[in-house]
Amino acid sequence: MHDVIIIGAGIVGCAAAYSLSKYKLRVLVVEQGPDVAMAASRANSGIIHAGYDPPPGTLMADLNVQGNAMYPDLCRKLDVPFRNNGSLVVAREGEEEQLEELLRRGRANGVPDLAILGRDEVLNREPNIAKDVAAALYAPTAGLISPWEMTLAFAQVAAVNGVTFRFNTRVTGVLTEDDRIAGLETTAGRLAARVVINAAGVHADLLAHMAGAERYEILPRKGQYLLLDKELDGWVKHTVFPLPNPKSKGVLVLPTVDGNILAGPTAEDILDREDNSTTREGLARVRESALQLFPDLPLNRVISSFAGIRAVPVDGDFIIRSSARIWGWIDAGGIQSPGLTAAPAIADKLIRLVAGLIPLQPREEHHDRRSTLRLRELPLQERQRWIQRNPLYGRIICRCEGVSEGEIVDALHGPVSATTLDGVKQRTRAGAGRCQGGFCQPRLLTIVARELGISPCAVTKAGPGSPLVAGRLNKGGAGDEE
Amino acid sequence: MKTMTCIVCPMGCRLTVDSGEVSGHRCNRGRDWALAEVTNPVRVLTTTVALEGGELELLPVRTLAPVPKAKLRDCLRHANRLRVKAPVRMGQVICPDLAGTGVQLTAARSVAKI
Amino acid sequence: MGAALEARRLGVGDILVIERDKFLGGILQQCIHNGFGLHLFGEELTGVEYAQRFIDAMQREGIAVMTDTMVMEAEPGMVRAVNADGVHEIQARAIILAMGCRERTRGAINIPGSRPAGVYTAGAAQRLINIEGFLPGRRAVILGSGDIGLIMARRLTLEGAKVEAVAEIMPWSNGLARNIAQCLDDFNIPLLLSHTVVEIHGHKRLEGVTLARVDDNLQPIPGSERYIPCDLLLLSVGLIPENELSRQLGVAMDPVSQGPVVDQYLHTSVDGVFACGNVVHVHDLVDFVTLESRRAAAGAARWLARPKRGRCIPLKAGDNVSYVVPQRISVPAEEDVTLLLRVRRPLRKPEFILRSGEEQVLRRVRPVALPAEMVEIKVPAAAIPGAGELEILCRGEKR
Repeated sequence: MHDVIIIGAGIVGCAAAYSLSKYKLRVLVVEQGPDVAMAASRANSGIIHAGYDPPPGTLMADLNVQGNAMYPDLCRKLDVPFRNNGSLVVAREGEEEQLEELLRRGRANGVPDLAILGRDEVLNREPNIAKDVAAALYAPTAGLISPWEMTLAFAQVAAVNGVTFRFNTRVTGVLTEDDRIAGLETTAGRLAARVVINAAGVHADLLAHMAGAERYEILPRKGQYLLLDKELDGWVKHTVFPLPNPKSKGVLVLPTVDGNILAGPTAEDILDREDNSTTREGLARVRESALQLFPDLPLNRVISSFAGIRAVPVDGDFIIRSSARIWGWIDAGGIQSPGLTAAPAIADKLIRLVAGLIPLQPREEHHDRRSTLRLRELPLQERQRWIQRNPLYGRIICRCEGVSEGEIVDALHGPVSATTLDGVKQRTRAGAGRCQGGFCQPRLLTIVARELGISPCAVTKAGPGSPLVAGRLNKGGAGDEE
Repeated sequence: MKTMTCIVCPMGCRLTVDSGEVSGHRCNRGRDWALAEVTNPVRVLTTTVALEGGELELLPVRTLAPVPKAKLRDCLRHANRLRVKAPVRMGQVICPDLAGTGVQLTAARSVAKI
Repeated sequence: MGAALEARRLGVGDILVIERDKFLGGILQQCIHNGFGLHLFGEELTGVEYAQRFIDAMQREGIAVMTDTMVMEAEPGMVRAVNADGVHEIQARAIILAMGCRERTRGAINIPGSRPAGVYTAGAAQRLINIEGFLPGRRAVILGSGDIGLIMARRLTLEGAKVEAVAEIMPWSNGLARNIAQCLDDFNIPLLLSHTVVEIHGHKRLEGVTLARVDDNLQPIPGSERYIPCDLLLLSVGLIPENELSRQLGVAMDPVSQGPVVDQYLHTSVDGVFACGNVVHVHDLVDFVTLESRRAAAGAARWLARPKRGRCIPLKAGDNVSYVVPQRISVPAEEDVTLLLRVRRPLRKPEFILRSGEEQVLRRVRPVALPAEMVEIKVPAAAIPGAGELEILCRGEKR
């Protein structure tokens, strides 16, 4: 019997798990994917928005501004790289009035230190920007994180505090008794619970419907991105937006915390909720729009492209509430942008909703810190110490990102550890560099198999159904292994 | 008349064989190869065989001389049944007669014992 | 290893080779196919044998080696490397960069679609098959007809996979003609010129690719798409010199060859830093890599004996020449200079002209020139002027 089951190990589910883990509760997170942040939380811009965009008075506006203020401290505690780079919304001649509108909105939302910069100041801050820019709205509180790393950090601390994670587990039904939550039917069997938090991202509306809770509707919207080489670090400094359009904030160009440049996203309404494929037209649109902001953007240095699906609530605002129909059902639906920014504030709101249903008793002893070893960020002299402790820290497997075998082994053990090659890549950056795994993937395959105690033929890229190899070669009569 | 791309060396000459006469070649090896190609085409086979007790689990091997193209599959099947014990020296004969061709299969590298 | 052995032959005493892999030989260790060494050894070796000859010679010469060791930082006069024993700071009066190249990836050529398992660069698949012993897939499409792609088509077929097609976006193949003959034709594998992969399908594991014909501007022609079911897509779409360390050292780069700018001694713009092989420009034959490594070693040995640099005159790539190595020539030239270059497009009866200003210095005619095949031109020392600018250009009929 669980006190709370959270559906979905994305940024919202994991932030909620982290916050709930400070209380004496039995908490379980069920996730259909093989790892945390498998959908929208993985494939987004990684921006900690300042909060001038959402209409004043909405949940989005409140939670955005609250969340933004929480991140610097949160990132310090959980050892997640945070880059407070500031954002610019740029306007051409004749468009300045729209900046004023954003400024007013931002001030109404309580965004601190907003300012409108003239052309010279914009060019000074962002020397490669299009020369026809007239002015820009500058938001110094905007920042960057790795959304994946943040989600993992929440999950790992939650796990250390006793939260259980069940991956590769899909919810197939919601069990209720007399309009009260009894538990969930899943691909891993029945799971009993008093409270269920629905943080199922793009599937949240379907689950709410399944539970018999108040209905709402989510539209899946695809965003495609291009990722450029790290060697361009510094070429773009701020998160640079065009003026927003009714559907989205437009295609932006920004650095990532790791020093790459990111361009995107598109905003395409789609039907298939899991179709995160990129398209020729979509990527062409990203290129075209990005060049309008940065005409000299070195698009020949693209190292990867990807797409994510955002869960767009038809009614516009986040849906965060306890169901009046089904006792114990809490929705956290429609969490599109600025969902990443709002996530810690959403988690706080969810705690209050849980407290309205079941008594919460703080856990006297709990962890609220995390630290991760990133050898590539340490001076070489310090690496010496680690190598003396474990020689595997001296064996570099991923040459592009300088990741050692020791770090890869670490990623495969401990709380919320990797079970797939993508999981290792996300945790360590092994295979995420400019060769995209060309050199290290064969070696990673054998390390992952060894550490997990499975056949290399059973190692997957991203969970069941995605094996990396088809079988062993038929040598010395060894035969085929499927 | 038959035209073909010479595979003797990376030059890749276009050769023509017309009633026993070769043209387009730039060396004698090319001429000989073209004549063989119309009568009994041959290829060098390179593959790997199972290796036990070595620093590697696979040993790269090659046929010391070309084998008939028609027998490539048989040669491969034979090689896939072989098991070799480390250490191995480059050039060491792994199989004296591969699939009845009379051609030796030799180790392409040295592998130390662990 | 080629540079180390040559440096030893020239009397350099204190030499160290640092290798990131477990074995010496680099990518040659996974090249189990033959076709190596014809120029250098007069016989056809497998890549593995070619490497072994150098490894054996290194042992005979007693040249120091650190394997499983990665250079993390380099500056003129010093490198810092890590391995399982710790961090090593190594001083050297001359550094020769020979890190080779890496493969272009899916991202670099931007193939749209999903991101399933089963998409590999040809080299990664080659390592999986030839060293690790796994079959990466059972039904394959290969994009790119460079030599690695062609070699892998045969290799996969021999190990029991079915290769549906090799698609090449250009109207010609970048692979050697003999590899098309013995890797594709021998096994009836179709080579589809002017074709590319326009979409990748499959949510978890690759399920298929869409191929399309491309027009003269390399753009897919609508209506020419066709779906091919497969569980493996190999990319053989070009190689890029690996120059992260060179950039750290502050070496000036050639944007076309994507390698350091060097003179005929393979001396980069940084004193005491030399470069050779695929770091400088992507070669098609390992024999030429070895010859270049020997020139770099000779350059380094010369530098050790007399650490002074002469004046350099630039050598520019002119009409129909995409790049030339060296990009500058140290004058007065004491020995004959070897120029290595690539043409931009296939040409018949190409006429290579080296000129200084308007004055023709040298003229060489060849039967054909292909972008895939490096052209070597020897220039006698006496022909090289002591000042001015040099340009090498090529005239010929389009093929």
